[in-house]
Order: sequence, then structure tokens, then C-alpha cells
Amino acid sequence: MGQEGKYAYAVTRIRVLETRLLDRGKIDRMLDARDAASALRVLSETEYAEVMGELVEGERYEEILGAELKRVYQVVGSFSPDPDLVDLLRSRYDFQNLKVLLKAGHLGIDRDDLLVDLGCIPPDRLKDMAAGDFSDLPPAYRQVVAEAQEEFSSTGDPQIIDLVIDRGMYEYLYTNARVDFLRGYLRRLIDLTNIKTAMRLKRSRAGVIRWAFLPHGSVDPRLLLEAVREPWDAFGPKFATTDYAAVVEEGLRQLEAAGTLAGYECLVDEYLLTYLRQAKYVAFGPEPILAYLLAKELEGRLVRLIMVGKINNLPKETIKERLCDVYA
Amino acid sequence: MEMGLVLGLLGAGLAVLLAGTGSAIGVGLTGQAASGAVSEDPDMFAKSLILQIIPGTQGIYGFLIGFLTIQRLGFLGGGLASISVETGLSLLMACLPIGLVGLTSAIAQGKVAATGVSLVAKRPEELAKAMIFAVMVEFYAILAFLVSFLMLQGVTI
Repeated sequence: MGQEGKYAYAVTRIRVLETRLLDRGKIDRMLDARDAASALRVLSETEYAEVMGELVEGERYEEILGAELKRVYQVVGSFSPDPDLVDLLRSRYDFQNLKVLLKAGHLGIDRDDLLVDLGCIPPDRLKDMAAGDFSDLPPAYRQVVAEAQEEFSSTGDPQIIDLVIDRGMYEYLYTNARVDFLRGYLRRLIDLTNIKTAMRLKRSRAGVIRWAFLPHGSVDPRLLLEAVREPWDAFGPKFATTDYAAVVEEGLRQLEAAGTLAGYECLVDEYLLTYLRQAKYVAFGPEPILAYLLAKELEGRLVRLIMVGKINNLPKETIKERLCDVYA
Repeated sequence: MEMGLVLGLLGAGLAVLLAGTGSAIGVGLTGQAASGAVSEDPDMFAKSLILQIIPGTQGIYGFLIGFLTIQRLGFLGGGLASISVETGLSLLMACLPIGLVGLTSAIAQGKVAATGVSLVAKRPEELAKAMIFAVMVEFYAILAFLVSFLMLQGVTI
């Protein structure tokens, strides 16, 4: 009975929730909308309506997206048989907030507007901890913060905070992700992020620092370093034997054509989405729950891209180029 | 009480107990899945209920075989039959197919029916297909029930 009895309720509930994810039709209608306000009206016909309430101005899409994710995390967290895994996904927002607080602290400015209320620790509480030298933080977080502070004080470069915290975050996520499906997802995300970092470093011709690449990837860091040092022609073939050959090849082509990494990022989302879709074949297990949460985040990114495009009056085709597919 | 009677009773008990346990697990699992669906979409109730009933049949088959056995032992009026150890063992054997196959098939069917609820949650128009998948498992429970029934009829008291 074990696995079945544990997940029968949760997985079925997730299947119903999945039907409420934005489908291609809704996305296209948002794209076709005349302006930001009409795009939001399409959104108000979906499950986003619950959190939208009075928020009808196109410019306030960020609040809507935040409230919707918060609602979803609360609902799924309430019935998931693995609340620790839901919390693990939420911990990413804690790290994001810690970055903001550390950088703002060092620069002596107030950037509370950048804090998101999606993590395991409420932003207000994190702020209090930041004021008290972070000594109340959970030990795993505190270690990462201490490392970031140490590196910052020796280099004085605020960017190092981002790098150290990202590294610490992936270390934390990977070691606590006790489900193979989630580890597989993280490994792919880490690899593709590392390849993106390599592309970026190569473009900016900046020196490679030891924090640049994330741990726990399946692509050898030496390969990544070689790719950065050798000419562009050798970049693609370096990854020809990995699972990411097609993504890298197409990404490089788009980088050359458009001059930005947006195309590659879109391909990465598509690749990860294909991986997440495996959860559709799992009848009893944590996979559908994790895939739903990650798909919901991806959906938020799509909506954000559309809203930003609409607010800036970009043509439909320009926005569409950057949109990846939907989970459903 | 004679040993033969005791063995016959053991058979009747096992038929009801094993098949009933299987059905309870199967119906319970499907019920959990159904609750998940109904909590988000109350319209799912009727469709989920149809699927939830399917793993319940094994319990009914087990009950029927158990009932017939008790009847043949004479517990339902007309005085207890006089039964040898061999006859008692034969009755026990006759009860085993539906008992064991009922247990395993009801659990397996419960899993199929629970995933069927997921299927219907995602595609409400596909209830018939979800039912067909679950009913495929029923076939083996029916075979076991038939064999138990024929064996029971074959035992002369």
C-alpha cells in the first residue's frame, strides 16, 4: 500500500489543478490583446482571478504573479505528503531574499521592494535577522551567508555575493532533494546554467573566477573552462557528447543571430519542461506535485514576459519569440 | 464439532476475509484519489464513485462463496451436516481461489481505478476508458469466482 496510499489523494488533486494551468489558447489570447489591461482581462478568466481582486492595472502584474504563486505554494503545501520538498522549492526564495538583503546591507540602501514573500521565512523576519547579524538563521543558510560575507569582505565586489549564494543554494537544494526526479531536474538545471555562464564569460571576456560554475552538474567543470578559453568554433562541439548538444547548438545559433542569450534561455526552459513532463506518467509519487509547482513558476515567467512586452508595446512576434511552451 | 465442519468453516471464513480485505483496500485507495479530485472539482463526485465501486466486487464474490459454503455445512437451518475431514478439506480448497485471487486482484484493481480517477480528473470525457482499464482486472476475479463456485458444487456432502 505504502506509495499508493500516500500519494493517491495528492496526485489526483494535482491532476485537477493541472487542468487549470494556462493553455496555449490562453497564452495566445494574451499575446493578441491590444494592451496590458486587456491581457490581464484574459488572465482574470483563469484561476488567477482568485488573487486578482482589485488588481486590474496592467502595471501591477508582478503583485498578481507573486500572490498567485504564494497561493499555489500554500494550497499544495497543505496537502502534499512531502511538505519538506515543497519547502525545499520555497527555500530558493529565501536565498533570493538573502542576496537582496546582503547586497542592500553592504551598499547601505533599502531595497525591500525586491523582497519576495514566497520563501519559508517571511521577509520581515529575514530583515530582523539581517539586522541581528543573521545569527537566528537556520544553520544551513547561515553557513552560506557567512561564506558570502567573507568573500565580499576580501574582494569588495557585490557580485560575488550573488555567485556565492547561488552556489550555496544549489548545494543546499541538491543535498536535500531526496527524490531522484528532483535531483535529475536540478542536475539538468545546473548543467544548463553552467553552460550559460560559460557563454556569458566568453562573451564578456572576463576572467574566470572559481565561483562561476555551480556544483553537482554532470558536465565536467574542466570541459566548461576549456569551452571558455578556446575559440567560439570549438564551443558547440565540446558539448556534442552530452545530453545538451541540441540545446547548445541551437542556442549558439540564436546567440549569433540575435546577440542575446534570450534564445538559449528559452531553449533551456523547453528542455526542462520536456523533463518535467515525465511526471505525467507517474501515478503515485512526489513527481507530479514537484512538476506542477515548477510548471506553475514557468507559467508565471511566461505571463511576466507577455506583460512586460505589452506594457512596452512590443509587437506580438517579438514577444512570441521569447516564449517557451506550456506544461499542459 | 467435527473436524470436517471446522475445515469447511475455515474455508468460508477465508473466502470472505481475503476477498473482503482486498476490496476494502482497493475501494479505500480509489476513495482517497476521489477525495483529491472532488476537493478541487465537486462535479467529479459521480464519475469518481463509479470508479470507486469497481474494486468492491471481489468482496461480493467472496461473500457469495462464503455464504454458499455455510449453507452447505447446514448452518442456515435444517441441522448441521455430517462432514468428513476429506470433505471439509475439499470445501476449504474450493474457497481458496476467490479468497486469494480476490485479495490480489482487488488491490491491483484499486490502483488502476485510482489512476482512473486521475485520468478522469484531467479528461472528464474519458470515463469509459478509465472504467475499461479497471474492468480488465475484474476478468481474473470472475475466473476465480467461477472455479470456486464449480468446485463447491462438485463437493458431495
